[in-house]
Amino acid sequence: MLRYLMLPAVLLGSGTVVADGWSGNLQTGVTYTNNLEVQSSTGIAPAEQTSLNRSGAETGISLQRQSLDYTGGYVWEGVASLNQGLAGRKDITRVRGAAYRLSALTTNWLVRSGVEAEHYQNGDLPTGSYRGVGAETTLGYVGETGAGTDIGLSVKREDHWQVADTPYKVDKQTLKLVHYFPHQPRQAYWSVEGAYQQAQADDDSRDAASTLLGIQYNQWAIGTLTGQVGLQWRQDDYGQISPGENPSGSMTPPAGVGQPSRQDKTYLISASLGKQIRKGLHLRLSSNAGQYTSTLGVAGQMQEGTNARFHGVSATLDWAF
Amino acid sequence: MGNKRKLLWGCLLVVSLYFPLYAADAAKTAWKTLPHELQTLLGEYQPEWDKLPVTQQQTLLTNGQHWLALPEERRTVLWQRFQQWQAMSQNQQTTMQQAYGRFQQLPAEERQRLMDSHQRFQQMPVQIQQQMLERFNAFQQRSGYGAGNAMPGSMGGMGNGPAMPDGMGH
Repeated sequence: MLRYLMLPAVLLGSGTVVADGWSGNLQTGVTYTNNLEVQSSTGIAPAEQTSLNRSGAETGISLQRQSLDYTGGYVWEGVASLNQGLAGRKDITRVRGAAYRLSALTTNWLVRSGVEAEHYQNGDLPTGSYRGVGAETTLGYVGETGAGTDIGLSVKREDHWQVADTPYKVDKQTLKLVHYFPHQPRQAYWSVEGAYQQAQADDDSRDAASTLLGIQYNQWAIGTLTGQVGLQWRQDDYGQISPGENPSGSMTPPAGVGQPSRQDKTYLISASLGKQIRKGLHLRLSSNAGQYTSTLGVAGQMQEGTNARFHGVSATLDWAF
Repeated sequence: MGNKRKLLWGCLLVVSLYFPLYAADAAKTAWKTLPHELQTLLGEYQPEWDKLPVTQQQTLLTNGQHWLALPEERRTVLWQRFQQWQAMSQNQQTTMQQAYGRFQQLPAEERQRLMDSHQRFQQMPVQIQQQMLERFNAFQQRSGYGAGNAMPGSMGGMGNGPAMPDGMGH
């Protein structure tokens, strides 16, 4: 019994212990898209894109272990999901593991550094499948009133091993900035983001420079529902185009003519609504709609190649444990 | 076991807790130098106290010297903790005991890490400690980390992630 009386001494630091432990989510739902992913991923040539409509039943689990005190700590997380294609469509699987270290530079400036490994396999679009490893560092400012800024730098190597003719590897470097406007806890707030990404691939036609801008309205309380809406614009500039895309069928431009290039632009509007059914159990409805435009040609003579609209919806049940 | 006996054991054990076993031979002197709170408690249960073996009395009283060697602030804190412990319900005490049991089963290295962490934690004002933990949580959650999204590839991110599924997020 003696040791039990040590409890007050040992456990009064329960604030520290509270931040130690396991948590997880189990999600299940249905998704429909006319292949949004095809049109928002870099490195996929128009010839490889498809307007395939796809329905799926998705189940996913995420597990997280964190060990945090006021000075920082570690977070480990694992995610696995399976989207089973319906009506003859193939499966999409994703497995991801990551570990992060969190630390405080000051009481307002925090740092997160981590590594991740991911396996993504899309049976309906093998070109989009990849295995990736990456590392990232994010410097974050957390203000008194919910305001803050994240400045993140990440590198990632992806192995697109399922591309039919020429499997390729690509190295991506991303600089990302997000600003969160002041708000009270659990109150709605705006955030804006900007990102720049450079991708260098084995296959030069998949080299790209991408820019993304976005604005979101978060934690929007609508009666008993919680909503989120966002608008994003993205531009991908490819230094070269593949022979299949070039009207002349050649990678070599005629004398006096610049190198043919491709520019993709995507606009996306997204919205989601969530409702707590009971403690830990949420129903979420999400939808997206957007437009994708791809132009080909040489500088000053760009021609519109592909112009398509896309949309998607999903409904999921999320159980947090 | 009667309430009085329980209380007495509680007192004896809390004394033993904070004062690892020492050899001593000046029990009576130690008794006189015990903090007033302990004297009051032990004095109230004098009949039970008298039934204790002399060696145990000596040990407990000697530990009082160690108690007195502690800084006044430390004694105050420990005394408050003991009172908190007493104020707990049986369930709370059981939960704490179980948690302590788990703590004891941890590898020595992990126990030391938690104790160090606890010590650092204690050195900061409680409000700041809590605030820092909240900031770490906010930092994680606002960018979708630790949001528990098992379907990062789904449309809309279903959480705090980027709206574009293959956006330039993590």
